[in-house]
Formats: sequence, C-alpha cells, structure tokens
Amino acid sequence: MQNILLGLSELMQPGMLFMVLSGVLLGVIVGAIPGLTTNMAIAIMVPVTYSMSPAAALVFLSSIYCAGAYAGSIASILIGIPGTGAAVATTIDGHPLAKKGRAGLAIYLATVSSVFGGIVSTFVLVIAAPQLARLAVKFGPAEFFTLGLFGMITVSSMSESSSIMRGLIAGAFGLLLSVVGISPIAAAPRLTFGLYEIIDGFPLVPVFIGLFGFGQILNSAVTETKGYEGQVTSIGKMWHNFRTWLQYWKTFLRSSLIGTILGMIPGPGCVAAAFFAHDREKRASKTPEKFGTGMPEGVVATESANNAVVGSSLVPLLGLGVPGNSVSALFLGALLLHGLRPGPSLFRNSPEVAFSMVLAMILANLLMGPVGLLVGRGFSYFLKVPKGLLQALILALCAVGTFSLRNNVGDVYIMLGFGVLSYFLKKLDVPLSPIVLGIILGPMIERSLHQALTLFDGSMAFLVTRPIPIVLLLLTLWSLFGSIRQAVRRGRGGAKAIRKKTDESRRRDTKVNVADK
Amino acid sequence: MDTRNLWLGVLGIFLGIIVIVWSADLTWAPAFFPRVVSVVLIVLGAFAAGHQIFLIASDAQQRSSVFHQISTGNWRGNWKRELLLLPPLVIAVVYVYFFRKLGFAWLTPPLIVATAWFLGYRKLWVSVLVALGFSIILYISFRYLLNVPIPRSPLLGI
Repeated sequence: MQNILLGLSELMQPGMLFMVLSGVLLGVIVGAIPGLTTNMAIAIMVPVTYSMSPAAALVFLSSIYCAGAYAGSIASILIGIPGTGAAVATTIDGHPLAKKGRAGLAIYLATVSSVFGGIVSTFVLVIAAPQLARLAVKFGPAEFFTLGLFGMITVSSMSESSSIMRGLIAGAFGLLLSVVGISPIAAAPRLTFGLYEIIDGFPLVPVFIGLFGFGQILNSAVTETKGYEGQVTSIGKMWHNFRTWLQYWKTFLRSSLIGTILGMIPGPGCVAAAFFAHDREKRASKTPEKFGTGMPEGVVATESANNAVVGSSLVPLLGLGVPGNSVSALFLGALLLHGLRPGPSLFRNSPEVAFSMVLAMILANLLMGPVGLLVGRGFSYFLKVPKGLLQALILALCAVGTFSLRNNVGDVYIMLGFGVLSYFLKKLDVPLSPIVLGIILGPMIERSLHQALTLFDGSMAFLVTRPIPIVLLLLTLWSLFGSIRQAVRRGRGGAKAIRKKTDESRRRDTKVNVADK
Repeated sequence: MDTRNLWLGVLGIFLGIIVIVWSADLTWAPAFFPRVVSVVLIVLGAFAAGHQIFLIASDAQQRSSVFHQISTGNWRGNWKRELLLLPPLVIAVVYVYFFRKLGFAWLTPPLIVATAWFLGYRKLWVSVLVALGFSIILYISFRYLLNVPIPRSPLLGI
C-alpha cells in the first residue's frame, strides 16, 4: 500500500500528468491512422525519453500503449480498415454498425469498453505483478532457462503468421541474432566481424526502430496507396447514456476476463484475445447469425478483450523480467536504457517507478475516453495527412532518434539494416515478435542454461527434477502441440476447400466442353 | 502456389550452417549456444522446406504448377517492385553518411522533401514548408528540451 501511495505521489506531479496526456494524445492519433502502429510509436519514442526521468519515460510509453490499443477501433469502425492489428476483430461488427448510420454508437461502445477493459486489466497488473515478483526470488538458473524457453516457444508458435513453422524459425533466428557480441559466459567476442558497434550485441532500440519504424516506411514505399473507400461520412450521435453501454455488462465481463487471462500468457496478444472474445460472444448469443452484420455486442466484446490484454501483458515483464509480447519487449528495452532491471528488483529498488507506471495506465485509460471521442469526431482530418509526407517525417525522426541514443552513426546503419530485413521478413510472412523476443531473451536463456549445466554437472536432469521447470516444460509442450493441432486442422480445412474449388472448376470445364461439342 | 516456407527453410539451413562454420574458431563455452541454436534452425528449416516439397510432390496440380513456373522462368517471382525500395534507402544512407559532416539542420529538410517525393507526395512547396517546420521542431526538441547533442554544421554553426 505504501508503495502504491509512493507511485501516486510521483504521478500527481504536473510534469507527469502532462506526460500521461501527451502519451494518450499521441497513442490515439497513431492508433487511429492505419499504417502507423503502437509498436512503431513506442520504438521511435524510446530515444526521445532518454533524457527524461525513468518514471516519466515509462509513464509516457505506457500511456501510448493504452491509448494506441484502443484507438485502432476508430479506423475499424469508420473506414473498415483496422488502425492497429489489435482492432482487426472490431471491423467485423463495428464497420457494419457504422454503415447502418450508427457509427457514433459504435465508437461510444468501443470507447467505454476499452476504458473499463483497460482498467480491469491494470488492476490485475497491480495485484499480480508484485506477487509474481515475490515468487521470482525463488527462481534459479534452471527455472529462468525453462521460463525463457516457454516464452520463446509460446510466442513463436502463436505468432501472427499463417504458418507455425515460420514463427518457430523466426524465434530461432532471433536467438541467433542475440549471440552476436561478447559471450556472457567466456567474455569472448562472437560473430562481430570486427565491428565495434556490435561488440555488445545488436543495440536493442535501433533494432526495434528499424524493425517497426523504417521497415514500415519501406513497406509503404512498395505498397500502392489506396483510398479509404468504405469511409462513413455521417458519424451520428456520439455521446450516449451510460445505461446504453451498461446493458452489455455481461459481454464486457466475459470478454475482459478472456483478455486479461490471454494477456498474461506469452504469445496470444490483443488480436487473438479480441477474436476469441468475439467468437465466445457469438456462441453465447441467441442470435449468432446476426454477428458480422453490426451487433453492438461484437464491438463491446472485441474492444473489452483487446484492451484487457494491455495491462496484463506487462505482468510477466514486471513480475519476472520476461517480456510476453513485442510491446513488452520494447518496454524492456526502455527499462534497460534507463538503467532499470525488470523483475523482483524493480519493485524492491524502484517501487515509485513501477507503481507510477501502473497507476499512469489507469489514468491513461480514463483520459483516452474523452480524447478518443474527440478524435473520433475529427477523424476525417487525420486521413487527409498525405501518407508519403507522414512517412518522410517518421524517417527523419527514426534517424535522429536512433543517433541521439549513443551519438553513434553506426547505430543508424544498424537501424536501416534491420528495416530492410523487416521488409523482406514481412514479404515472406515471417512474424517479427518472435525475432524481437529472441534478441531479448537470448542472453538470459544462454546464461541460465550454462549456469544450470554447471550446477547439475553437465546434465539436463534439472528439466525433470525440479517442480517449476517441470510445470513450465509441460506448459511449453502443451502450447506447442496445441498450436500444431490447430495448424493441422486449419491445413485440412484449407486442403478441403482447395479440393472443393478444384472439383468445381473441373466440373465447370467439363460442362463447357460438353456444351462446345 | 505458396513457396514461402520452402525459401525460408533453405535460408534457415544456410544461415545455420554459416554460423556453425564461423563458430569453429571459438572455444567450447562461447560456441556452445550458437551451435545449439544453429542446429535447431537447420532442423526447423529442413522440416519447413521438406514439408513444402512433400506437399508439392503429393499434389498433381501443384506439381504441374511448379513445372509451369520453372519452364516459364516465373519461379523467380516479380522483384521489380523491390526497386521501389531503393530511393528511400539510398536517401537514408546518404543522409546518415553526411550526418556528422554537414550537420542535422542542413540535411534533414532535403531528406524529408526527397523521401516524401519518392513516396508519392509531389506538392513540392508544401513539402518544403513542412520539412523546414518539422526540422526546426526536432532541432529545438532534441537540442534544448531533451538536451541531446545532435551534430552541428560548420556552416553558420547550426
């Protein structure tokens, strides 16, 4: 309780409140514009926070995260193009609802659901992260090795790619990138090719800015710019009675619970939570056939779930020091940049930083409601910003931000290199989150594996003789085989569909031939 | 026909082998983890590529599609689109190369204008004005608000 009050007193300073407000504003704008992602905004903003106090930096970044996760819904509803990946599922019912002339209602429901979904999950973060941090004190090398393995395999197998194999290869590739630099065991340089810029390994922030910022710019250079054809011109009444939302309280509770639980597990993330909640709501409904035609329940379900992921996704990072998704990996980069180590030591040594960040998320959730509704009203103005010009400004920010970290031009070249890599990886449909996680978790996995092998005389017996590694290993296998089973089912479904299509076209060809004869 | 897993698998095997070869000069402790990860990458790559080849071999339609692509030379795919990557990339590399020598203030507006032009925004005057305004904001924010030293030019000292 004392620590919470400490965090609150830190947060109540005018400078901190300004950080929350600017983070929310930036997050809402970035989230609302299709093509700009929350990952990109956080990656680019990490160097900007360099001269701030650690608490102010994390408060700013967490406000962007909260607001960005919500604001994607505005574009989903109004133009049928999700502003961020998290809002893909909101398009299913949000856009049809807007087409019916009820865009205002859809935005209102999305906003209130996001606000409360975010607050619920932040409370879970406040309660769960310190408890997990207490448990983490009992973790030794064997536990950290299996925890790292669990995070890596779960994220890789559940990543956004259409193929589980691509996710796993991406994870292994990320781990391979993490071995560049001085070995954490023998202090010998590895695979550096004489380049002093990478003697300590690839610098995290330039890598993130390259993957999520410059990579995106290269993608838009190649992708044709299309207009927003499905744009809704009339938004209608936006401010509604609170009772309008309250009638969907059961949907909200179910979906927030789904989002909070899935958020704590490394891997699934906002997209999976939103789709899962939408599907669950459809099954629970008496009129499932109406889902997809503009059901308010669909909007409430997806938005409660994806925002409930936000807070709980930081539980593994703040509690154990292990990021569960790409955004929390970016947060880890920010924490390290400010000389902080997430996990038990964060709550012990810098409680004011940890709690001011968590409390700022509650404040950010409350603020994003009015800010989001205002932005929703003026959304059409954002769409008028020419994409080419916007991307050029982002490129300048990426370059200067990367340089400013260490006053090193080499870092900017690394950023550019990872941007090109990101473009080609996207072309091959290789997900980026496992790569990011591999780079971050690699050193921890390597160090703990070596330490565990030394403690157990070179034997891997620690995997099956200690309770926590056994549980984590079973969970890893369960999530891996679960994903494989799902992929096989999907493959069978796809193969059946292809076979059916081929048969139909053959039948059509035969009919045409007969008719020709 | 989707051959992405095949290409990715081959790349994975190639990368794994390269790392194993490169780690030959290292002693056991620093080489152990890279070798383990390389072996995992090779196994995953072999599985991805092998599975894709099996799928192609077991489906007559995919087989004929592959033969058709090889005979027409289409297997290489259309890489002309990737040429569009070059302008922003070259502009960025030139910018970084001269960053220390010419300074932030003289280089950033041309970077923004040129990139915007190649990314399809052709209203030159608007883009010049926005570039100047944005560069000034960036300069003041980094230099005075965030206290981050960004390179100055010998010309006029900004």
